[in-house]
Amino acid sequence: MNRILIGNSNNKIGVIKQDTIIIDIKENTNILIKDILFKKYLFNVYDAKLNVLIVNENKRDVNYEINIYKGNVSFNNLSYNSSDVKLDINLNKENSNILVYNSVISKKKQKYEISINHNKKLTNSNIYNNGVTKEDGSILFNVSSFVPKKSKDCVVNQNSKIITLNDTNDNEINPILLIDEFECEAKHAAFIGNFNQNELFYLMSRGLSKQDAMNLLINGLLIGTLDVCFNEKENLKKKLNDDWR
Amino acid sequence: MLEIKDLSVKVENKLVLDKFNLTINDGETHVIMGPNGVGKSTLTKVIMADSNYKVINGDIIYNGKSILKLKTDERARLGIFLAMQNPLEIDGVTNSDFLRTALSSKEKKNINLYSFIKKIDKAKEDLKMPDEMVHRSVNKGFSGGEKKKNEILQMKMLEPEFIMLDEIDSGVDVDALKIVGDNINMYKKDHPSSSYLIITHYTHLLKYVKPDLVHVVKDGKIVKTGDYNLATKIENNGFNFEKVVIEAIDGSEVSE
Repeated sequence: MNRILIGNSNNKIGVIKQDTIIIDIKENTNILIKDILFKKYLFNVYDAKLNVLIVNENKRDVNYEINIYKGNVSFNNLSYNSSDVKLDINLNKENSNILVYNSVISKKKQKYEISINHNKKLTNSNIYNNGVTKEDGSILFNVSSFVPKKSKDCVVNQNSKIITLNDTNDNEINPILLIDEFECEAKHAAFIGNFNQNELFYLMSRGLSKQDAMNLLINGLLIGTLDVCFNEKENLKKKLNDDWR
Repeated sequence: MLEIKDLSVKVENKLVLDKFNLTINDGETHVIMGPNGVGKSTLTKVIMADSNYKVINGDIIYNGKSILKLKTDERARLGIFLAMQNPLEIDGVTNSDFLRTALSSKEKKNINLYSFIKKIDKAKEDLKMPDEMVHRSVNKGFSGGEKKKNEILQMKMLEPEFIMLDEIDSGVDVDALKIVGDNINMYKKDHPSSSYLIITHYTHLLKYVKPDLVHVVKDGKIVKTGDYNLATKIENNGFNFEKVVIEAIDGSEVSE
């Protein structure tokens, strides 16, 4: 298992071409990106497991591209107050699977363009977008899944949720499923609104104040859902509590 | 401990509790039975200050003070606990985070991690729950029985004084019910002054947890009060309440 840190260490992997970094993954790897230094991050995965965690606080737009030639990729993105993000995923061989957990805290207008191309049969994609809007924040999630003909037995899942803590009405979720193959399992869910009153009541009935209950739910929504190890989650929670609230 | 005086409650313009009276003293166990939709769960939710229910008349007095104006969390911190009929699943929030925050709120200070782990390990063992549940999301992927056990775990962790158990026995298998019953008894023994309000349809749990009084609720009122035998009579007679009530008024015994 490789563990690679990009951003706050001297490790340099992959090839850098102008504003793009190209990372080829041929064995099981964990990648932690703490600082967005490039305009584009390109991951090519060849029959391997990849877990990426990106903590994005930068103001610049960023572009991610993931090409999977068989393998499982878990892509976790936690962005606070960052700029627009574009994520392109290409599932290029059978048994290529992608899991995306995209957690967003928005204090200004933000746009997320996510597209998934199921180029071969037996490919899975599970996309979970979770956002919270505060102050002047608003979020747009555009999620497009493409399944062309002959890409049989694909699983396509999109799930997006935005919790509105300010009074914006600009939050928008567009689940787009373009499917040209009958033998395919596809579903999507979208939710924009406030926290469930019953959840708040349940937590408050155990003695938590409303603020504590909301903090717990925000932590749960944005960090609890990520597919990263326990210690990493604790660090992120601490960071979130320290410099965001 | 708890006194409910002439309580009337409306939900969506429907009167669900009508001048309801009930007094529960320290260390007593009361059981409420009754058909579906007569306001049993409503009573527990009102005591816990669920905002969906509007109190239009009466008062709730807890340890000599009215709690009607207090919010849900303030009531909980006074030592009122509600084990819910349908515990919610909360994705992403782990049991340990939840309980640690709850305990810190109750004790108004950050709790010691070591004593917390010791306490939760003990509670987990008593309830025969799997080790990894602590780091799992609250009730996420739990079976019906596990959810109910989790409510008892929370009770053991938070150590309330007045405990409401809303259909804690539904969806629980025989072995799990015994564990739940044993744990309630264990808690009762450790906290002799704690009082209980148990809502149930069956006598299953009452075989383990002996009630002091059994109340039958109908149309938002207590129509009959008795002891454990009343609960068995109700179970034997099905929900034929007319019969139970009429015979109770006549003063004659219900034939079995």
